[in-house]
Amino acid sequence: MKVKKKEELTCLCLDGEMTIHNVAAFRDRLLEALGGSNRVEIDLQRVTAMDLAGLQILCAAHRTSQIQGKVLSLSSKQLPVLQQARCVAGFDLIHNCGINPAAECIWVGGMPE
Amino acid sequence: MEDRHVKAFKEESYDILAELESLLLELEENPKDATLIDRVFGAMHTIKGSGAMFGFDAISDFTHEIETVLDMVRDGILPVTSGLVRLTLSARDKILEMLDSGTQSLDKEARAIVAGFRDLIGNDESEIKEESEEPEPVETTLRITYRILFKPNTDIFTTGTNPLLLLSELKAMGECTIVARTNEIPPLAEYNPEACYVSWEIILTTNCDENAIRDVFIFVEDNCELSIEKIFEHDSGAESEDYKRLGEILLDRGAVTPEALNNVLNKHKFLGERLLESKVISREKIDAALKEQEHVRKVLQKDRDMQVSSLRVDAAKLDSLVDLVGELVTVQARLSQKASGDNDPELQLIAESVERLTEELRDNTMSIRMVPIGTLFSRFRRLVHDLAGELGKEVQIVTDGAATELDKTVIDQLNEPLVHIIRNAIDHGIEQPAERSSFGKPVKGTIHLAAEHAGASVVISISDDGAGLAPEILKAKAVEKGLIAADQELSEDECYSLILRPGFTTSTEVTDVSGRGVGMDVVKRSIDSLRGTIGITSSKGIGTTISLRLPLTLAIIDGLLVSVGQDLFVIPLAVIDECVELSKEESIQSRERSMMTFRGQVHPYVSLRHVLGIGGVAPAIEKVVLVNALGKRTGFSVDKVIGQHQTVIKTLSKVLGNVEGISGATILGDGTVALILDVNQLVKAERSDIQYKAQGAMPRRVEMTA
Repeated sequence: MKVKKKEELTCLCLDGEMTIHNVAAFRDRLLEALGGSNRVEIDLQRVTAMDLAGLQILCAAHRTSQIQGKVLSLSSKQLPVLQQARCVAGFDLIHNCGINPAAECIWVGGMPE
Repeated sequence: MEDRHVKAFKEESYDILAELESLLLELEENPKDATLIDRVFGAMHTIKGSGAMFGFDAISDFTHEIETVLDMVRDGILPVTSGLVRLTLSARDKILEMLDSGTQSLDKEARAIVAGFRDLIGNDESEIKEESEEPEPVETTLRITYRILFKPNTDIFTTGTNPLLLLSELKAMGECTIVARTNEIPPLAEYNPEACYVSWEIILTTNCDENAIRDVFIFVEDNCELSIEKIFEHDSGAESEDYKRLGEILLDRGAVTPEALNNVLNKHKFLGERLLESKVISREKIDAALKEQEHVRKVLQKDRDMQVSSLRVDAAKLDSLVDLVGELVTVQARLSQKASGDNDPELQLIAESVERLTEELRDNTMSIRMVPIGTLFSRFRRLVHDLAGELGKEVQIVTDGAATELDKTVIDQLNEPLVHIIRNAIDHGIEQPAERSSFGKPVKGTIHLAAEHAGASVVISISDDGAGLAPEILKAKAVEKGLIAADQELSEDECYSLILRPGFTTSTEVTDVSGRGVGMDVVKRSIDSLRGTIGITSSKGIGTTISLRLPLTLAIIDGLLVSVGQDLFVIPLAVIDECVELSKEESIQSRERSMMTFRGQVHPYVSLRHVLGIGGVAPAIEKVVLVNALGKRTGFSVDKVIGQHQTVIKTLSKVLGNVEGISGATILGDGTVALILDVNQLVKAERSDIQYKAQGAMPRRVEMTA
């Protein structure tokens, strides 16, 4: 995991398997990144596996950012492992969780038709 | 005698195999396309299943082996390679052969193919056998849509369960829409990495029963909340109605009370938005309900499509229907004639109604016989693939207008000529890869098949981007073969049409593929018999295009009835531009010059009386029908224009079949016979007449006896 800071925008490069076995470590990284910046972009390009726990933690991170009034976005929605997991888990919703009604859900877009 | 069901199975299998072929060829080009892989697998699976059902055990066993491999491809364990595609193609051919022969055992070739597949997976025989023992899941024929609520306990991860695997299993059971409910996911600070916060609503349309669905969750039964509800039964026999409206779904789900719903319904807006604004329901719930609606509607639509496309009728029945409609058209014409003669308004009214209905009936009957030409095109993909491989060339086929519809009879008779043309294009037209790259052309040659409507005809063009035709060489060859005189002047177009002559070939060596001098003349004959024409254009080094212009249908046409003297003729309405009158002076002038002026333009003028050798004197005021023939407007003078006539074409007997200028006959309402004019031939004959005249020779006549 690498953190690159470009002025305000923090780019969080996650790698490895985002699964139940090491999701705790990802939680800490995400918390840290959100603690240090108002705008975080998560790059999943190097993630090699994704399961429900991985999807959940990303959702949780997004909620945290909204509660704190920050911006969190995903930069690599086209990633096949992500698409696959989202497809099976039904994470292609169009509503947001209602914490900040103006914000778009993190799971909008990025799925093949 | 063959069982009706077996026959139906065979017919269906032929269709599937044809589709399979084109799928495989497409797959070779896009090896990563998952939908293609799924469809290939589905095709094999259907053949296997129905093969076993109708006693084609050998086919079923054979297909099973292939299916095993394809299953691994589908799961991404094996890649799609050209080797795999080739092997599957040969397996497909083998199935076709087994289907025809009805064999009950695998021959040597089939076993070799099976061995090839086994090599691919590197499995030994026992392992595959074992798998085949596994019983297929029991499926009921009734399709049911279920709404499944699945809420795992938060500690489900600790039991080692991956909920996504369960969802995948559901997905495999049928058409499935999965909606995650994520509102319980907490922010990071309160997040327990080992907890599962998500629950799901799954809308599943499947043939499996509720128990089969419960079985999926059998190991997590104690660790989750599960509810399975039947929400829709798809009775394929009944009229499928539209699915429930959003309000009904929400009520059904208990997501909203009837009172709250009624309150909101009084305002005007989309129900979902109204409910949302009045805060009686969360967006998530509405979205889930909308997804359910969308899912069921989609499934219903598919059902409907299936019902529409699955009617199979014997072609012979259609033919007799067309014959009957033809007779009816004739009788109707008689009725109309009689009605217009008698001064009886009521009869005229009836006659008009009958005419309108007959016309509609005719059009509908004709449209039943129409088949999209795509079915024909897709057969050539294989031909091109195999031929190119044989000749060491790289060729791709591109098609356009596959949806263009043509009469089934025409399509059936088009296969052979098109095969010849494509063979020629690949063998003579497209160069070897090395040669192509030295000319700066793409290494891969292209054959372009296109079809489009042009009035009452369809134009099919076959283009290649190969070497093109060289008029000088064609001419030299024709002289050498003694087909033309050495000093004969030929235009470029005439040179090209030399390739349509019997016995003409430019190829110095005879290959397996073409060059034996049979071929293009066969094409010419087939197209002639379909009353079509062939056009050839070519430019050296760029390619050749052969276009075939064919009539839409062979049975009935709209025509214009005209008379010359006592004789009646029909001119196809499709070629007619307009009808004009000529005064006596104009007529005399036109006859002398074989030219007429009309709207300031000069057109060739043909006197039908003259060309057809009919005696008598032309009336003072002649009618001229302007037709579009061979790309030019030509005026045909006739005595009288009687009117539009629905013409049921009767072919002339063999003795009369070759009379130039006449393409058939029709029987009129009062029982008299009218001949159908082939204006193209007449114009062609007249043009050469003019040439003869110029050379002082006797004009050629078309002799005929009516």
